[in-house]
Amino acid sequence: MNSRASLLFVLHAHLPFVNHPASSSFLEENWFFEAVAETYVPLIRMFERLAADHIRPGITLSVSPTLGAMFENEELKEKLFSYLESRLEILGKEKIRLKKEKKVLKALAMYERLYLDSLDLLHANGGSLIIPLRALQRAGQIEIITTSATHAVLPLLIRKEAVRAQVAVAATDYESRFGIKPKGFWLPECAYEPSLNAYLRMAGFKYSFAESHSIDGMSDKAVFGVFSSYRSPNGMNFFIRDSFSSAEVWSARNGYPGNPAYREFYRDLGFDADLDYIRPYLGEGGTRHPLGIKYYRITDSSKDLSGRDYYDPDKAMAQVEKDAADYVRRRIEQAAAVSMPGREPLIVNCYDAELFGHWWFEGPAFLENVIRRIRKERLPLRFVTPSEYQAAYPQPPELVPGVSSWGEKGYFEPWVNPSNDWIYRNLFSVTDKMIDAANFFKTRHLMPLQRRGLNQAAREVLLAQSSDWAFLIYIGSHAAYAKRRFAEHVNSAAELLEKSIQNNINEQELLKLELKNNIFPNMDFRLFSSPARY
Amino acid sequence: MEDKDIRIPHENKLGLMPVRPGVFFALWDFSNVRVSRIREGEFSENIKLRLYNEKQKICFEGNFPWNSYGAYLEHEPRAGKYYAVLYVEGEDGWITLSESNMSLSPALSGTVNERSHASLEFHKKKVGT
Repeated sequence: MNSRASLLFVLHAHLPFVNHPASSSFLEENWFFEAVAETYVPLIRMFERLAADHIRPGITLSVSPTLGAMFENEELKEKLFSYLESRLEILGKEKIRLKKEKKVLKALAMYERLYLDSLDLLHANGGSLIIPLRALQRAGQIEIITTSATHAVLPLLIRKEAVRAQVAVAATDYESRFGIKPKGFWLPECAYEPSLNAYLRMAGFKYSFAESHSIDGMSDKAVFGVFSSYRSPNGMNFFIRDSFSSAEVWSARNGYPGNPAYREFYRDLGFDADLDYIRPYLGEGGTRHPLGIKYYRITDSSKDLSGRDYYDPDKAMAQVEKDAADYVRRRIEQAAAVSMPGREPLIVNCYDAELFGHWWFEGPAFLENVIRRIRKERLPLRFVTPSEYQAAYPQPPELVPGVSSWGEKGYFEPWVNPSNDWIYRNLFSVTDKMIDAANFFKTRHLMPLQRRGLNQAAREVLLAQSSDWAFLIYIGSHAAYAKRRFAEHVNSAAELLEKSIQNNINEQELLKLELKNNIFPNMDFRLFSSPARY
Repeated sequence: MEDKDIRIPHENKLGLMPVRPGVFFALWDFSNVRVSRIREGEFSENIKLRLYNEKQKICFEGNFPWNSYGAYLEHEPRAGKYYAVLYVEGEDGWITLSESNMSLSPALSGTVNERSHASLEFHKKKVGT
């Protein structure tokens, strides 16, 4: 029985790189704007509030390189300001339209604060959220980690050169963005296989995370179950996600986010209002899509969306109090049931960051309440970062987790199935071409344009490897966009490689690509060369 | 654009990816020369794929149309290292054309329900938009 436990909370923030500078309003760019307003800014504000009250959040935040690049993209910053200002404009109109609907006035005021808060934070930081994140990390409030360059599912890359490039580019990108070397690596989709250890260590990473079932059947080595970290023979540390406690927060059906008092995600003004009324806010396509303004609560999820009552922010916050109290009580009970003489059990919860705020609107408030409650009530729980836990327990048991992911059914089916498996032939082929070109050109004298072409080809290959395209095709959401993006990256890479070999690159075309897919400015194509030859 | 029509110069190659315990996905490609020779009838239109474990034991064998470019290889769900070999049939019998990368099969653990579904993507999949 343990009197105290450590909580390790990982929020993985990721969006695919979506940047369409030729378009003033591109539908898929809204993913970024919505997540900024509903998740990233509320989380940063929460961390700042806690720090101001001398309560260290101790949260681990994974910021994917693609998201980091979007945070610092000048055109996206401009569009983000426009997006937030347009939300305030709609809310201004809504206040007039709904002035007699007293039940929505609190929600309207809440949304106004939400968007104003984003504008304030962005204005104070030149439009970039990297600045406040870097400050929070420097002050020791949070620990920021990274993930593979474009969120590729690493066990599916086939060629080890591609794995090495994804990991190495992520490490370089992190250092240039946050000013220090990264320690932690979030495996996209928690997808792990043992050969990754060497590449992670080679790039300087010290720890990563694996799914709970990655240690199933290893009771002789996994002596502390999921309640401890483990270390591979090459010195890579792994924290094991506790699926039991994670499900309480994550599950939309049985978890906290499904409470009837909480905001209903799927009932949105973009679908409820007259088309003419909202048309100015629908962008170039003019088709209905969510606007982020939602007036209803879940009420009864078994019923049709039309059967929803108005959302009451005060009642939702009262439910947050109850859920946070329930969560900490369960963690104390969970820890008390674990027998680990001489060490505190570690409970590892990992989530996509966008669950907190975007999908589960009350998520940031829940997390803040949990952190404050532990401090205020002097509960036998404490938030730790992976580095702190490693410092406290520097010699964890040795173990190599098994092949696994946190996706549907626990392995790789969401990313390899009959709906999307066709992409891999093309990906395999263009990746091989990239490796061949890197091996051929790495020691040769190159004309500047050739070098730029090869570096851009490397960016395009990395972007084609993003897990998002296969997944979107699988779930049938934005599938046409995902197919187009995948094909564009593969074709651009193939064409650039051909033209680099012929030393026949069209500079204007290259420049267009460099401006659009302007991720990883220090990209060096030689990262794709075979290790023995590099 | 058709899904399988992205224009890249092709070579003979074979890749192997884990899908779940007991299932790999194999994908292959041929050089333009090889495609011409198949089309001219020099080789049969079916290719043979074999899956081997690290002890070189055959764990799966099956024939597939050469231009399907991908196939799911089912085998006894036993964790370990596997690789595949692609054969084409000519006048003198089956000849080896490509050997895949080595790939690790996951160990079967628990039931589907026991395994976690943590990803928000799964949340989106189940609830739908």
